[in-house]
Amino acid sequence: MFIARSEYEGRLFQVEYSLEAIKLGSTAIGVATSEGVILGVEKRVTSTLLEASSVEKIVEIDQHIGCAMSGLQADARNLVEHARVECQNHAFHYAEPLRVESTTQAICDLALRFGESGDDEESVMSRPFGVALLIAGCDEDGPQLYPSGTFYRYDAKAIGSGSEGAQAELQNEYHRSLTLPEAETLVLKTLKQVMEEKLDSKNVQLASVTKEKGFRIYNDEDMGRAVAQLGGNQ
Amino acid sequence: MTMLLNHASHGDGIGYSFAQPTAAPVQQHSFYPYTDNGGSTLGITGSDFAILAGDTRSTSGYNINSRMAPKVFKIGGDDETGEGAQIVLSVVGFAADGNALKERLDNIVKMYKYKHGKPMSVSACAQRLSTILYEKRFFPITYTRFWEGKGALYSYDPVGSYEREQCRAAGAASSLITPFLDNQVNFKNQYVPGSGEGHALEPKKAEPLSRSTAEGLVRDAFTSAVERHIEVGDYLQLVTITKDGIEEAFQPLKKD
Repeated sequence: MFIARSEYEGRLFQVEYSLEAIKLGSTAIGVATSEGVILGVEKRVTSTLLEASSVEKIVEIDQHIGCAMSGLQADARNLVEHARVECQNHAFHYAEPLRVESTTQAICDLALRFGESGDDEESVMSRPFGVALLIAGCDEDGPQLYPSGTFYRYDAKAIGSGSEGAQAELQNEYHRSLTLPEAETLVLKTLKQVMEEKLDSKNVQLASVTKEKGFRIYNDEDMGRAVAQLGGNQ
Repeated sequence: MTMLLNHASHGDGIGYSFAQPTAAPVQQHSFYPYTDNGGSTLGITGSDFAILAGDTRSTSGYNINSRMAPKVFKIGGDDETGEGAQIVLSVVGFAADGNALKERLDNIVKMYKYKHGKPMSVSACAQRLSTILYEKRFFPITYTRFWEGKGALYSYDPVGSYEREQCRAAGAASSLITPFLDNQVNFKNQYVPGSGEGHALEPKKAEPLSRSTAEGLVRDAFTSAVERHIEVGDYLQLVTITKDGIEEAFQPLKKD
């Protein structure tokens, strides 16, 4: 394998570079409650000429699963496409939704398919993905949140450039009895602290995954309401 | 148009609208990869159990291949005895296809448990079996009808159409057993005595059977089928699935 050659001290540079790429990405936060999971991202509207609604950093994987991304958006498309296909395949074969953990596993399987392929191996990707995902979903085990890469389940997790500060904030503020509106506010409050721009309803995006409604991305009206609620709490 | 012209050119005799038989019959080659190994199977469900039964005779034509070739299989067990299984599959028709199908489904159910960390539900397994069968749409796993249980019973055709049912008989003696089940399980043609005259006569309402009644019906169905069908006999394999697990019993049938 290519990555095994140029390393000493047991460090895998190619992997570390991809981790660096993620640290450059915009901040994304997920908070899981007993009612559902809230995902939030900062949109980084870099130009006044940029149409904010075209920045798509939270996407649907299946009716019951959504994901937020940070890092190289184009790489995320590959992972999301793979996850969508896995979900649809499972529904076709088993007439039931794919579990959130299995969806995460499917994404992680693809994320590790890099390096150099052998003679009779199927071709693999030349580099690791430069993107991190937060996968939120609801299944028979209730609402769940998984970051991609390391396979741990989190109650609340932040990825991207502001992740260190945001994770510390989540650590302080998270408690198990959070309601969904409280989780909304926690996500926005945390994003507000780590964002360079001033937070408004145009430069952040929220989405929720609940048992009843499944994955739902917030429209302008919902965003306005959530941001207004935050203003009231401050 | 050419047809008309051809016939008109015959001139003598009657002009037929269909083709005249040619002198030499066309030599046709055929490939038929299936054998009917006979036997019958039967499934009945109650409120908290499912029974799957089958005889153990394997035939080809008038020959008996084996007197002990069970056709009811445990799927997704922890070892080769099938311990720990929650799903049972029964196959009649071509025994080799049945065995291959059993192995395949067993593999899939086991892999599912490793992959998703939970046992496969019966409804998921039912859909998966359907897709397995339909994959072979143009070379079907033939002659077969299948079911599986765990309080639920599903039946299939060779290309994967399936349905959840209360009871079903299939195989060589299905035509003998089915009317018996219609009458004894669904109470067809049974009425409440003295409830009226003619059309006013009230049909007897079907209700879930007790386990002992259902097992009795299965035994009666097979002992009767053995009397009239030469491909059914030797032993009755009776598998009962409850929430506590699977119980399997063999009992003799006539060997003639």
